[in-house]
Amino acid sequence: MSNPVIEIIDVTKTYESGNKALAEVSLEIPQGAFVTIIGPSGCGKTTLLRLINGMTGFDSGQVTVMGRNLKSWDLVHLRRKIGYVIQQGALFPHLTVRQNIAFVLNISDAKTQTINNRITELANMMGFDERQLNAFPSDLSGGQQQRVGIARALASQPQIVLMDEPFGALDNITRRNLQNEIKGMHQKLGITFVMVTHDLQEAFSLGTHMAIINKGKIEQYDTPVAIQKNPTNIWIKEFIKV
Amino acid sequence: MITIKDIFRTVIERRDYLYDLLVQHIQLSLGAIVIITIIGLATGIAILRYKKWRQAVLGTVNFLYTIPSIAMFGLFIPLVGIGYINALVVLVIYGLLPVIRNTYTGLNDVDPLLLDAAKGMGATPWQVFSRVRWPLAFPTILSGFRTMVVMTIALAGLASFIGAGGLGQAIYRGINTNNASLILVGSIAVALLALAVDLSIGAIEKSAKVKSKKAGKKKRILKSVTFVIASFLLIYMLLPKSGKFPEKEIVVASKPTAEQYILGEIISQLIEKQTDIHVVRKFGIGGGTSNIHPAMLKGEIDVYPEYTGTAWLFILKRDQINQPDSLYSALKSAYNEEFGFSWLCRLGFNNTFTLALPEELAVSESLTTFSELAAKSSRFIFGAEFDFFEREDGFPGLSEAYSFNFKNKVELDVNLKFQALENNTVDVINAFSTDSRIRQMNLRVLKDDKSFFPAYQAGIVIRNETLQQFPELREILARLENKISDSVMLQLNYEVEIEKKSPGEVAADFLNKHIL
Repeated sequence: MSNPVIEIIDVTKTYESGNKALAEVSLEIPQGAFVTIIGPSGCGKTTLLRLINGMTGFDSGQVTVMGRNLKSWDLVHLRRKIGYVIQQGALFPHLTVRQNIAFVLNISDAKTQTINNRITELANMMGFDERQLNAFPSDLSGGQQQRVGIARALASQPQIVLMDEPFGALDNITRRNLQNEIKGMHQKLGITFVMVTHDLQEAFSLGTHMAIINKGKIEQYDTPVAIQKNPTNIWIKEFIKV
Repeated sequence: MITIKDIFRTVIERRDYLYDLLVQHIQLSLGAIVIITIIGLATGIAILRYKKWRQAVLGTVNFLYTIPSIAMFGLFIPLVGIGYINALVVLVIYGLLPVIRNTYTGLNDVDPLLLDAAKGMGATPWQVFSRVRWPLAFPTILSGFRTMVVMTIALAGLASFIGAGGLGQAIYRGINTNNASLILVGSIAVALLALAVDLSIGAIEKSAKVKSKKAGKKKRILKSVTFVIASFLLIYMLLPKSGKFPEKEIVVASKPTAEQYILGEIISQLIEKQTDIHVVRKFGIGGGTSNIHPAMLKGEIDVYPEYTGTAWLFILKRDQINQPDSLYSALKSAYNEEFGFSWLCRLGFNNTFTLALPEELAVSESLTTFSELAAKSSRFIFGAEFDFFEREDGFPGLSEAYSFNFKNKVELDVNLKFQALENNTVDVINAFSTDSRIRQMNLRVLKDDKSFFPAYQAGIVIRNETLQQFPELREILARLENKISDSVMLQLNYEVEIEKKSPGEVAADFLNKHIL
């Protein structure tokens, strides 16, 4: 295992209601890993993901991203270095596919030439043609939209990509295709993926590591094979059987 | 019946007048639109941020919106007086609701997921707003803007009610001088203006949408907004300013009756002929005395024609004096002491209240006096304007003196009384003794056998400060003393109301004839 690119140490986050979203959670994510986070709904998996790009604050503990304490990061700056894919793609309906992909580069005031080159690269990689680049998101299918969402997250050549149930709303065939695509991308690009999912099959097949969360606590964090072989408790055994 | 020819003739004959009104209308509307847009957008954005204020602000603008606009114009008279500022304030208050509501709703309804995505990708708060929230809310905001613009242009038509000019003045003057084709021309002009602006905004909206498919939509929208604002500002700057402030200026006002328009014109033209003072005409002030008098006190109006009875009973609220000359001298000193106003002269006629009914009805019921009418009053419906029922020297006193017991009492606009009589909606109306329609409609005027109504002799009231500034006016305006007898006034009224001459024309003829 190489150096951790993300380190979460003893993080606790309490909702205003007093309920604990995360209770002394620790997680070390090595460079180049593909971590899938899974657990019953409301267990805190999205909260855990959003700790990493500072979209959710926390009460105690420490988060280190790319070797720097989160508190010392300029969050705007940090987020531009981290790809972010959320449910249903969340593409901007008033922007073309091209403009959606260029969003991070545009807000970072990148040069037009740089932006165009990067869009060409991504279009080649994802197989978008000129017509699709100039279309609006509403003209695309759900699967295509989600692929635009992924391209958008990769635009700034991030070291880390966070994904929150990116394939949740897709049909099974599209879902499997995209899973394969993202797996290929991970192997080719060597960047770190952290993905929240509620689909066990997806968590097992995509993850190099899996974090199983329940009620704000990490029940087990290991490789999929190890979890399959040695579930550390009865609850996990039951959970992964479903 | 009005024919197309009448309308064209009105437009051609009064081209300059209508053009001036159109310019005033555009200036007033544009001024309001610019202010509403700035305040509305800022408030809409502010209440998105400050949740605490949201309910209070939306509740307040909603409430203000429900106040009838006529009342709103009236409510602001004590605060800002009459004229442009009053109209502007009222237009702004009404226009705020659609802009604030649509700005807030548009911005608030943007999918939070999209805002989260933008923030999560490293957009600064300003970038989240300018690149995601604002462009997505823009269509909703624009539709609120469009509603506001059309509404403001239409509502500006009421501004003439408080002397702010605009096309409504043509409508209002048409109503007050019984000129249907002028009413129609004014109304059509307001409607066309509103329609034209609405269509232009629609066209800009559409072209922004179509072109955006090719070029950047965001840039297009920004461009078109800039274009709209820039062109508004340009037009606004190109238009001549309505409020000229030459050193020598005097404001002449009149109440909203044909007689008052004529008297206002006679006073104005006489001043213009004999001096180099610039005259600003604020004719047809809604509410008449009750709004002109406070404006005189504030110095917004310098001179206007008033009636002795009205001043004594309605303004001073003193006990009735039946002898006209004693009334006038008491009035002169009271006005001077209490308000610093001077009565310069009496014009000669007495426009007192009387009761009138169709000649045939009067014959068949053999009615000639108020007392005879009172005896049979339970069989008749009585119609009068709103304030006649209110004022002490009006219906309350009258019915006490004669024990009237009408079958029904109908409150009518002062200008619709005669139509109501013609339509048999009412049987008897109150009327002024110089009203040309009495003759035109062949009405019988009943005799005030108990001399209830006081004298309502017309005179000229001027502020003492104005007299100090322009002392020559005392002598010039006093030349009108006793120049307008009952029959002359009736004739002048007849020319305007029945023969459809303009008050300006009638006044000019009068002044020429009397070499004033």
